[in-house]
Amino acid sequence: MVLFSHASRRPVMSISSASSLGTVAGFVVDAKRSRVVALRLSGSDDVVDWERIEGFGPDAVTVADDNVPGEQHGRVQALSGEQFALMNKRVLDDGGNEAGIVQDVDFDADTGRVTALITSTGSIDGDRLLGSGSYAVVVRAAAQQAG
Amino acid sequence: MRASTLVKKPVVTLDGEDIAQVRDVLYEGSGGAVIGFTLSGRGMWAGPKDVALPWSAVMGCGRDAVMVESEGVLRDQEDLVNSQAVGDRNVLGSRLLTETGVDLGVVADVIVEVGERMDVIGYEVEASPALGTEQRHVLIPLPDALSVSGEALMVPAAAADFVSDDLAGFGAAVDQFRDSLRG
Repeated sequence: MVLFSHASRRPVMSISSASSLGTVAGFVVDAKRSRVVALRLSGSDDVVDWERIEGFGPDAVTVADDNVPGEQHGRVQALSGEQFALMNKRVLDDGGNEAGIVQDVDFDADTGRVTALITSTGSIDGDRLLGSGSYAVVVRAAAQQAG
Repeated sequence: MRASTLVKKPVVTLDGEDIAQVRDVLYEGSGGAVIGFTLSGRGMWAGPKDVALPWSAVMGCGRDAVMVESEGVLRDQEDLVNSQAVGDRNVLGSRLLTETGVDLGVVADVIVEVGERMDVIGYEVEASPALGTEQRHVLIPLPDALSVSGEALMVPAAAADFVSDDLAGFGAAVDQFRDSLRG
């Protein structure tokens, strides 16, 4: 498992040219599926879709080549919406109770699955993610709570 | 919880968007349950909305928010009010009398309990001297089936024996009171 905070600023390298595309500047998350779906690059308008990643290593993220598929060009705007971000958002459970602020996110570097949200009040299993919007990240309540 | 604490709570979708906030609580005509909420917009300049949230569409009602699946569950406010017998009288400020004619005090808040329904389980009253309590505000349990008229709120005399000082023990007091009525 890797934390967003540890994976940030890791270089993204092309295997074919052994050159750098940039460094990891952010993570695009599909909260409904509990998945990282793309990486945002520093100093670039392009995103790297999760499917393009060959390896998410401790020192670098690798992709096959420098050629950014046409449909991925300039998508950083489209994927910069609030719903794709988790960090520093308040967490609400579906019972209407707050559960801290997202301080970090733990994910599986092989699959992109979000395994846990690290909040100011504890850790929340990634499977409990329901959605993410401009107001809050919504998770399933841990257990039934009385009114 | 006190119904007054519901007012201004954000209404949030499972997609994490705050689509409205609670403006007022709508009670059914008998006063025994909450049927939904009227809403206002979010933000400093937002006024009343003409949509309302029926209780049946509330997924969770907690300390910090009222949760709904999506904006699609909101209904036209007039439709909701017309479809159910909504209590048109504000109980706040009304006098609470026992069936034996003792004045228990003036209603300051409504105490509700979240379950399948949102039941009205009691009133917070500004205690009358008849109650003989030290606290200015006390909680009085209500029977399952509440009878309210336009004129007064009447409860069985035994309600005065199950008064609580705070919400912590109130749920148990309500249960005991309701059990005692079933005899």
